[in-house]
Amino acid sequence: MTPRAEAVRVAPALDSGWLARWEHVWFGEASLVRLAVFRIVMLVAAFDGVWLVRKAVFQYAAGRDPVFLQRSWRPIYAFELLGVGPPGPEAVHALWGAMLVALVLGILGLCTRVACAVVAVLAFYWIGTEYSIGKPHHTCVALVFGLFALPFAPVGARLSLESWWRRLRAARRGDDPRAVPELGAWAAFPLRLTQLTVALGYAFAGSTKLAKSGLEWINGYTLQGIMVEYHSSWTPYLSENRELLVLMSIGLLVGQIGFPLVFLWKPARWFFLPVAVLFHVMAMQTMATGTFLTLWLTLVAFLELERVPAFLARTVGAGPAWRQLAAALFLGAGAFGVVDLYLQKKPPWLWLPLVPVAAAFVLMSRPKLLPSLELAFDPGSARARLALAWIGACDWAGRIRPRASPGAALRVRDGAGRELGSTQGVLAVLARLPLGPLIAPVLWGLLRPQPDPPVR
Amino acid sequence: MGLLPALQEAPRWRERTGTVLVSEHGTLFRERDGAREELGCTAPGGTGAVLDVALDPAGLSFVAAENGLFVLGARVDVLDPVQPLEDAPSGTVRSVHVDGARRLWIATDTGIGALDPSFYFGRSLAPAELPGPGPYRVGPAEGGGVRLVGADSERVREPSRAVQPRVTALRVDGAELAPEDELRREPAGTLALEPTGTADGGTTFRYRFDRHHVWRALAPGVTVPMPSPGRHRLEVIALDQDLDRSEPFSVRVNVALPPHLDAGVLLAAALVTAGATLAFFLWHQRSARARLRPWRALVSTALVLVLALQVYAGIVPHGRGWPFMGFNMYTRAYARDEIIYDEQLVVLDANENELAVPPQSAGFMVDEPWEVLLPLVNDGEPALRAFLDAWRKRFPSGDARGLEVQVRRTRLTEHGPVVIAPLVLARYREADR
Repeated sequence: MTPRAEAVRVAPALDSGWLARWEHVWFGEASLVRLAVFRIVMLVAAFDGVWLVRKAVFQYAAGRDPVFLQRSWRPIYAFELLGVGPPGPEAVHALWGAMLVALVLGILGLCTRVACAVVAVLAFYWIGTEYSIGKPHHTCVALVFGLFALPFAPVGARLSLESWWRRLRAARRGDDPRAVPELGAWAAFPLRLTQLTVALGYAFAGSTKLAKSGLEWINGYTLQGIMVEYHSSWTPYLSENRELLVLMSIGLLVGQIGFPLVFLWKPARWFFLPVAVLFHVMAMQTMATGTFLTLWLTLVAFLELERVPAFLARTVGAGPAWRQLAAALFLGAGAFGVVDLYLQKKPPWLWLPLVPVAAAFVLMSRPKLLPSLELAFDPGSARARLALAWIGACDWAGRIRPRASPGAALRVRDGAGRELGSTQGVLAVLARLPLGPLIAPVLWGLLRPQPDPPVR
Repeated sequence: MGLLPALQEAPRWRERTGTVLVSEHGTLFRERDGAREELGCTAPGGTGAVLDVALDPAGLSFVAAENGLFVLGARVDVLDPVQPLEDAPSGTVRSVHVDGARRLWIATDTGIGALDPSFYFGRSLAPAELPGPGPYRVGPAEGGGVRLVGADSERVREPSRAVQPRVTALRVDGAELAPEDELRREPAGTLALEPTGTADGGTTFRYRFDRHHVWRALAPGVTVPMPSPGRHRLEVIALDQDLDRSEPFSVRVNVALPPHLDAGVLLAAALVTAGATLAFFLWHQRSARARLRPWRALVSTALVLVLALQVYAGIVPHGRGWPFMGFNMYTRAYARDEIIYDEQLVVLDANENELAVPPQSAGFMVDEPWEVLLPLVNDGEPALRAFLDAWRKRFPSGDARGLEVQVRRTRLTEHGPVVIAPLVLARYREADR
């Protein structure tokens, strides 16, 4: 059989067999931007997970529990099998420092895979330590599986210092710094594992209720009892009406048991994801479960994050004014709520890194605000390529449209085709980049008319 | 308190919060800021005529009434029935009294006995200890004892003078153990506990695992359920007829994991599953001539194993199996009239105002409230005082004078939850010293 005939014979098996589907689902190509955003969200969630339990771990490691505190080392099963003990008073600080460094590197995207692997191992140990002196919770289950899956994927390919560095190298080599990969093999792997873990968690949470108590669970008294037992701010308002409690119980079971339907019919995500978030908000406000924020954040595994800019432009930036306003209020309030919950009990300066992210969302949502600019550049100019590398790495809202113009100097034109003066052009470009203030000195030097530096 | 004086116009009892209970024509009212309000009742038939009221130093009020014994919280306007358990005197409770050790004394037509004020298990006094024939009444006596009044005589009982009860031996499943001995047991099944001991008026025994705040009854010949897998501490105490307790007789119990969670079994199953899965992937790859590379086959195998373990943990949950977890919480169905318990720590100020504070508020992060509450309940004043001191260091502006471990109780009803009297498991007040 000739190689071509062989290829023809194998192709259907690769395309349609279960092994091919397995390959496609787990190791197939997926958006690298989506993966990158997912990486950042997971590491931000991991910081939340380890931050909230840090005090207990530090106090236990210090070994100075007062007489009114009775806690002992009852290791989680995994630690028991692996023979892992609690960290000592010195080790705990080294561990915390290493974890913070790895988290920062992972979020910024430097040595990304290694950083993600380190975060996975250390966060598992850190959270497992707290669960070994307290009680294991479900908050960080999907988070931990997702973290362990991250290093298998090309997590640093986009939205990372690694990616920025590759653009710069391409520019210096004389290649096009705009040529970055959109898709990558294995990129779906962490997303899928996280999705499945979340879905299994919800499905078993719901089905165990039915398996243990049957339909009796939805009698209204059960939810009333749970709310009373874990008294919280909304408990008095919601626990009075039994019919409402019965309805809520049914909704809860449908939301949990039905969650795996998101795999069978994609539009079901529009129902089950909001229901999941609603469920956690209600649980937080009526059952004192805590925010479960790490689990909320892992739900982004179900979102096509690379399509967020287009979605925002479509829903907030276009259509009737009332719809734009409603969408902006709804999404803005939701985002503010999540950020507010996240920042509770954390250092107040943590909102600072969110400023460029918020700026990017505003730009994505309002295409008419600071509209796109055309940047004419000479592909043969090293300075122009360097400028493009910097701009490409920071243009999260896609506001700068580079246009190759061989032999021409760098020029910035607005949407009407008017050429902007050099200073005005630089400022206009910087205003459109969420990280503009940070890279202003570099871009100022690159975009202002200067003699071309020698090509290396 | 205690004995309802005859021919008194409207008996009144001043509660520690400053409110006043008034019994008028057999009905109980609460006077607050000059306004009088009739108290509700969770029992369908109400209380019937009120016969006597006793005030507990911890702020509860116990009410003897035609339809039984009831309890009332200082900040709750609803009476809830109390069912005396075990060897408590039977019949209508006509008189009640709470002594300085927070024993609830009850008197009926035929007997007198003491009840635990939180869990309502009780003992009846032996006939020889009673003041002749009934009906009986109880009340405070000079010097801190209890005045027992019969139809034609009375006597004073002083429980504090009794010899402390003692557990002298403990046999478990037929084998006699010394204190701190360790038992090894397979999961599930039961333990046959046979304690012996000495106590005034005959000995009764109670047991608990892991310093739990509830001491469970230990009836002769009745086995107790095996605790969950892991290391546990089993304690047995003896009680006399005044409910005085012995020091615990303590042994260790090590319960093995069930076979499906045994490390060897799990490891073998995981290895077999992994081997079979890997072989399957590699074999199928050859037969289909697809190009699943060995690295991907290995990752696929690990993936199948991880997902299979997640499903396994969902079906057979193990509380400490994180991150492979199933679900036990929130899975039980509750029923109408069920009582829900919600423990809380309460700081008291000079005016007995209560401030519920989180167990973490003394500066130590805890995951489970009982990590703080159990030492407070079990170790008493030293632990309570230490917590209060730590709390005051963090909140120096507060006027904290005392601390209580309360269990807030709520009955589930068709019209919503009804808060009833809390349990007060531990109490410390500086003025009490």
